[in-house]
Amino acid sequence: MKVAVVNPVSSGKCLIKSLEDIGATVMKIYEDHLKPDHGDFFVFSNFEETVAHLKIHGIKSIINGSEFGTFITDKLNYLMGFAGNDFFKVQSRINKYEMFKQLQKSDLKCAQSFTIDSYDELESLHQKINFPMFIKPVDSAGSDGCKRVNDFNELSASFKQIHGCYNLLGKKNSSILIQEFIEGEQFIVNSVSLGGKHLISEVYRVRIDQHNGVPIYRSIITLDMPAEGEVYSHITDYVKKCLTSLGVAEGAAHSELRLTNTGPCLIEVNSRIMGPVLDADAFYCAFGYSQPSLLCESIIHPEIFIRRLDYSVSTPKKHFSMVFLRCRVKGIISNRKGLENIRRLPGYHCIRNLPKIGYQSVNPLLTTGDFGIVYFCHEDRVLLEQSLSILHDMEDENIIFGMNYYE
Amino acid sequence: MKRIAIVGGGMSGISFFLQMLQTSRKYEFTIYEPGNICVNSSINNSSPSALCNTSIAVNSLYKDIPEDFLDYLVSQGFSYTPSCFAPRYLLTQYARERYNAACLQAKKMGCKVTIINECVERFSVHHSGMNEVVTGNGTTALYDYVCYSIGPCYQRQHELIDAELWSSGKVACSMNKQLYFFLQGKENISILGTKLSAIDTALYACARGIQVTLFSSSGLFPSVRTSLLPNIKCRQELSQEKKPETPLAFIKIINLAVKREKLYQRFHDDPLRNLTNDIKMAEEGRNTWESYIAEVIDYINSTLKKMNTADIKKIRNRTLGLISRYISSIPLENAKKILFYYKCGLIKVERNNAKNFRCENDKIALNNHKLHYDGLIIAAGIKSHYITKDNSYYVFTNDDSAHRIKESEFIFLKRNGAWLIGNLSSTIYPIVNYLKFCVGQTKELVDFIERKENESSSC
Repeated sequence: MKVAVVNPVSSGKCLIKSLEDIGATVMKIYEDHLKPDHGDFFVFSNFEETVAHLKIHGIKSIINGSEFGTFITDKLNYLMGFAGNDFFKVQSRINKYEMFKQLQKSDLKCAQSFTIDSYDELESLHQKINFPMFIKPVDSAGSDGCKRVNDFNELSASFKQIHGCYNLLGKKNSSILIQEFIEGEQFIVNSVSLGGKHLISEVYRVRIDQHNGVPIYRSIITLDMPAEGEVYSHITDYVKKCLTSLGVAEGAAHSELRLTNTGPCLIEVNSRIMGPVLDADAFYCAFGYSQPSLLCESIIHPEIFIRRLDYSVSTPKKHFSMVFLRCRVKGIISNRKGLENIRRLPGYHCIRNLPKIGYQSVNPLLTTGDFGIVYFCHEDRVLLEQSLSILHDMEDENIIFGMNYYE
Repeated sequence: MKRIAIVGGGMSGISFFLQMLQTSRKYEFTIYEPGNICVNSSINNSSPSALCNTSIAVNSLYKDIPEDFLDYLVSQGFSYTPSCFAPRYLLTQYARERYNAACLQAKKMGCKVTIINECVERFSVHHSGMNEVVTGNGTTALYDYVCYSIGPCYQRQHELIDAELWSSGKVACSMNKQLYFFLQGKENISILGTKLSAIDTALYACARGIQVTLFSSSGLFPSVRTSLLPNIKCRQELSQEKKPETPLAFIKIINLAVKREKLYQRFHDDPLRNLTNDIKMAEEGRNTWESYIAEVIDYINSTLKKMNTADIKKIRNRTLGLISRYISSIPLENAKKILFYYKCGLIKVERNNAKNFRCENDKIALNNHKLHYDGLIIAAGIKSHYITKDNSYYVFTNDDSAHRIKESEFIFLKRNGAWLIGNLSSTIYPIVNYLKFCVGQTKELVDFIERKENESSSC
């Protein structure tokens, strides 16, 4: 089967591997600014030309390779007449404010969000928003430029600080997202949909620390099943309703939400697989599958995938966790002396995305996965939680990386 | 199948469980532990810089296999030697893994293991002759044997300081799991206490660039511990002393040891000078006074059993005073870190009293003290559950309730197979080497049960 993947950057590369593993022939489609330096791919310039190219090559399915490919994927599927997400709701999947409006229509709780491009727009919001709010550049990664703001003065100052500046990805922060700050524990729900039915592949609890209003993503861990079955059902039932409301019918989705005193509240839905790097082996060890492998199965072998929908609750074989390593000081990495201690922690599975010697740490608060992602799998939850705690302490005590500090 | 209750899933309880399985008899075990097995032990600390205060050589969970902890560490790829001090998380990790393996072994042997996530409120002998265990929600169960190993408890820290200060939100406890969050945004903090948990907390805070001032009545750092390996020479010397039969004779021996080692001459009022001297001695591999005292106490403990309670009390009081500085001594590695931070200006140690702290303009202030602090951490240590008062024993099951047992009742309980293990029956010895003492006691209980079972089977 011939499959096209749109803008496969970040975890999209893992998706391509899974497609190749299952025997699919993959065509990569990139927008000009995202294309790699070399390799075999098609550069997207307009829809007519791309549709013609897909038809010539006998492409049977189009998959979203990253959050930058959502619109193109959905429109191409619509133009080609393939089963895909509801194209007429595509804006509610890529624009946070539209997402909020759509979920409100469906009576589903969601964080109030606005995307603004100028200070004038910010001033016009003055009466509409309730503090605390959360400010974030739309086109950045991790917690770069993110901050909790408690009043309009703080919001205004933060906006001036980040708007128009270049972010970590080298892009200018032209659009800024302002979102209602939701109190509660954060969860991630990953899913794969087929024919409008949603299969929940993983549910994680997220550890986020706050440092002067800046959120620091530390780690994610699977729910303790079956003990947390009630939380699981509560969250997944809500996410399934959100996915349906937002027109997600085919393919992967990565949803983030917070569990408040009055129930779950959606922060965002991304119709793509989870990022930034997914180590297939670690996921197979814990779940027996990975989100990319499930997605491939839903496309290449839907008859097998559909049987999975009968299981309402998926209990992982092992407890699973991912830690986004943080380098808490500015400087240049001179060694990775703490790695051997990480590798000896019980439940350690592997580490990916390690920084090279000489890599520069610019912002100690960032957790974009650039300093490595550690994967843990273990049958014993208590042991795994203790390993996480030790690893976080190692990060905080700054004993993982040897650094040459600059003045 | 005989029923055994293990109250407390910490080091003592698990050591008992492991050693019971060595007897190869089938039992029905019930472990009462409201938290997580081993992980909620008072010794646990996830920070890699919090080291055990005794060396690897004496931290095995099996009395008959003293090298078991070392074997575990070697199997995990660590290049430790018996005299090293391992991080505390490795000790609980070792216990946890041994426990997991033991559960599988118990299943294969046909034993039944049940875990009850509840606190135990009370225990006594039932009229049927069985041992009765009552949980916090009133559930009662009967057992043939009970290993009551609930470990130490923390001092009632709110009683140490002003009530208004306690409720200000500027105060945290050293054992607080959320210390990371408490320290966020703080630049300088004060710590009440200078001993083990105070040192662990200070290292944790300094690693985050926070200025720390430790306060205690002495205004000194604890001494530096090198090793607790058997000191054969010292033991030989002691055995040549005239056999001590009265409390006075014991005290004489202790005084002799103090004089011979010129212990008090090593103390100065300057904390930096003390610390530097201690580190220097430890690095040179010279026997420090602690190891000498440890041997003295070892020797006394071995003969204490022959004495009456009043004499034991006298000796205990005298010896405790002598070893007060020793019990809180810190491993060499941590001492070096403290010295480093001291020289960087991140750590200070001063003399002051707990009652002098107060809250002033959203800061922690002290009477007769110019500086103000962003927060106060109380690290005033742990105390035994078991105290003697009017010939009675009090077992604190939680902060608010105490279960009183008379001395005669305690002896009766023990005869009946309900043993108070570890900190519950603390003498001087467990403070010096807590885990070794607990493991020794649990082994005694295992042997007691084995003897009883052999007797009943021969009948």
